[in-house]
Amino acid sequence: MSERKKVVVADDEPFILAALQDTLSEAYSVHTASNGAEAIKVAQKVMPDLIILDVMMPEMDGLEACRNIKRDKLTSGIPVILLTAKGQITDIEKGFKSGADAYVVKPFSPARLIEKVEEIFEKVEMRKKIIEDKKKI
Amino acid sequence: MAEEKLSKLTTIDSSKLFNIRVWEGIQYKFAKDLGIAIKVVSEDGKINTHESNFSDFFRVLTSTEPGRKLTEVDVSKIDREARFATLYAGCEYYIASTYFYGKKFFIFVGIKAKREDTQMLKSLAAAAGVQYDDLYDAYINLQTFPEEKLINIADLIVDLFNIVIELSVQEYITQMANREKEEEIQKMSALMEASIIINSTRNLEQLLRIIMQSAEKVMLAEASSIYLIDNERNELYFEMATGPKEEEVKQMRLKMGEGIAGWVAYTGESLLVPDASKDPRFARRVDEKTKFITRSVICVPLKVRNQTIGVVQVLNKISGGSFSKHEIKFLEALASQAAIAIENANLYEHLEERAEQLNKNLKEAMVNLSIEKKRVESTVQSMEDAVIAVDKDKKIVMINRVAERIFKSGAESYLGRQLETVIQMQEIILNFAMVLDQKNISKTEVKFQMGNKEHIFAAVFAPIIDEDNSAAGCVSVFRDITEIKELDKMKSEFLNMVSHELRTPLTPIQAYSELMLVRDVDTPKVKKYANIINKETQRLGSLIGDLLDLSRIESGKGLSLTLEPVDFNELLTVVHETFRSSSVKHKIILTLPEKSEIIMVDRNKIIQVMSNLLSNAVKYSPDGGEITIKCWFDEKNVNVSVRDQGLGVAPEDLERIFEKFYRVESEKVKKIGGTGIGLPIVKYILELHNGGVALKSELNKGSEFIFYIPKVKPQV
Repeated sequence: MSERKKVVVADDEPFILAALQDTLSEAYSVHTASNGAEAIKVAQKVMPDLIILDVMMPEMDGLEACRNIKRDKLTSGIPVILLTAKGQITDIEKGFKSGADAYVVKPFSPARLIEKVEEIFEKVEMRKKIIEDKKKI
Repeated sequence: MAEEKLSKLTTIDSSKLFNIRVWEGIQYKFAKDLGIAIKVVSEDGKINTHESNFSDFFRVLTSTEPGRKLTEVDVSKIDREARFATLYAGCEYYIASTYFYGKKFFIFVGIKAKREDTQMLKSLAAAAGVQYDDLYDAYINLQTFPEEKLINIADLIVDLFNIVIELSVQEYITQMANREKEEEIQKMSALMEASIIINSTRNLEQLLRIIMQSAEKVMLAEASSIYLIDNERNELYFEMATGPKEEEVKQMRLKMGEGIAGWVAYTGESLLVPDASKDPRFARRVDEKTKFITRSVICVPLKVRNQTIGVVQVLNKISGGSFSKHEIKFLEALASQAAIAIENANLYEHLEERAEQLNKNLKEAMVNLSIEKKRVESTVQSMEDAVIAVDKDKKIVMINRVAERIFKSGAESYLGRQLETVIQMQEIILNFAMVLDQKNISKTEVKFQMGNKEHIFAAVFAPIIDEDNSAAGCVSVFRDITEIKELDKMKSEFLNMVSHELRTPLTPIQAYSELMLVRDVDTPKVKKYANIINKETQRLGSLIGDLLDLSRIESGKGLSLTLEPVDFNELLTVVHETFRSSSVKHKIILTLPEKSEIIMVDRNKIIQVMSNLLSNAVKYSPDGGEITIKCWFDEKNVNVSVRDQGLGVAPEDLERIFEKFYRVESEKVKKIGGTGIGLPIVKYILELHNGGVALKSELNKGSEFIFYIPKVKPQV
């Protein structure tokens, strides 16, 4: 096994942040942030394999952070999962419009979250393989 | 007719109608040309012709007044059997006579002989005051005729006299006939006049007066009156009276059958009463009352379609005497004209009444209509909604106050102006046009700027449909739904926030409980997880508590307090402990008075107040900083201040911050969760304790909530 995948998680609620960290830290290396701006900074520093953003955060919310991440060439390839208490269709739409790769609704089940994270990693792996295959050809 | 004439002639004085001038002309001819003296004396002495100039003697004798008197003949002294009579100065006349309508006329023809007696002549001259010599000479020359000749001439003269008197009668009759004709013409013209007036004037009183006046004029009457029958009371009342006692007469009423008028009204027959005082039907009451003396009366009924509606009566011939029968006919004719006039007037009055009634009804309808219009107008004017109505050409026919306020830019009225010149919004104009065209109701929402705020209006456009089913215009109502929209937005935001706020503590609870279930977690981790679950459960509990409180307050049930003695320092210390560790970014400092006090409050509710204030302080100072809790007691109250160094509140939001669901409209705040129910509950709880809460804050300079509760000491 290669080295542990890095995940940046951002939430303004300390207990939720802690729960995310405790859920994911068994399998991944977790870096935390308490708002969108902080998340971008951390992401730029550690270049994670995945970023999980709470939508509603002070300073910079998840949607804005997501847009910024996807706009930045450096970070645009990093998949983003949005996490929100809001389950309405318009919010999910907004989420995908901002470039998010997946959406998880709070309260989440740690197992479901891990599944979702692994799903994304698989997709990324597959994409990588396809690209590599193409290169070979 | 012949009989009538005859009867008339017997009533007239034949001496009056005798044409004495013609006869005296004949006498003069006889005297001058033949020297024959003629003198006619009627039996009653009324006719006594003048012998005039038949001789010088006669001329001299009658040149003085006493002399003339001496020639007069006293008929009573004439011997009716004698054939000759000596009239004066010894002159002997032949006596002839004739009768005319029962009256005897003596015709003296002379002279047959004279008496040449100087003594007689001397005394005659002395009596007459004339010269004896003159008289004597004239007497000598007096011509005498033989008896036979004189009788023959007398026959001729009697014949002549008969002819003259007959001619006189004829002349009189002609005159009478002419006079009757004239009267007839006068009456006819009076009738004509009456009927012309009847057809030209509608004033009944004036009409009747004219009719009565023409009756009086033609009939030469002193007074006249019209009575009408009052069917309800079975009485007669004066509709019209002329004459000297007009005013007094008008006051009176007669019973049906009372008096001459009453009799005529009752029987419906005309009546001529030559002398009222001798007629048993005559009612003296009226005369007594009016001090009028009724002598002769003609009274005729006033008939309309064969029904007697009243009577007309004419009183007293001015010249005295009685009215004549044929004057009844005239009055009847006049009465029938008056009846027509009354009927016309009644008809007209009836029509007028109807017209008046119609007019009144119309006026009432107009008044009602205008009341209705005013009602509608005032309703429209007082409406909170804007109303604009246009006609089919899109000219504004009605615009209310609210609409003017919304759309108006200048001072001039919008009424009557073209819609397009008033409203710039194409959307509204298009809606009006569409509704006018398609006659359908259209509903839409329009937004426009009012002042510095955008308002949203729900607009309804409805066609005004004519009787012929075409669009006569369009009325539109604009309701400002900005506030409703805001509330709606607030409601959905509140639901979103509630959902968020509930899920936020639920998230760690679900995550940690699941982690503990599915993973092998060591004891320290279990403790940590359980602690988090516990805290988040409390948070969830207090949130649910707030929601329940709110629903209780909302439903009107309100909250009830469970008062207990609470040591305030101790309470605040516990709250501080709970919150101190909830945020790593914030430093929560508690400052308490040296000596605590025990006060009667609802402990849990005050904890709820503090929790809300502290969690707000933490939430709305995302960059962290100090949060200070300060408590102090004064004489009356316990005061608590919770102060943060966070976002602060803008002045325009200060007042509304305690309204339920109200959340400050700023990006920064929106990113921070919150339901907008915490502060309203805080305020409610404090007011329930007879206390209060105030906020001191400036944008970006933090907020300080200060609340106070009156110190209610526990009873010992």
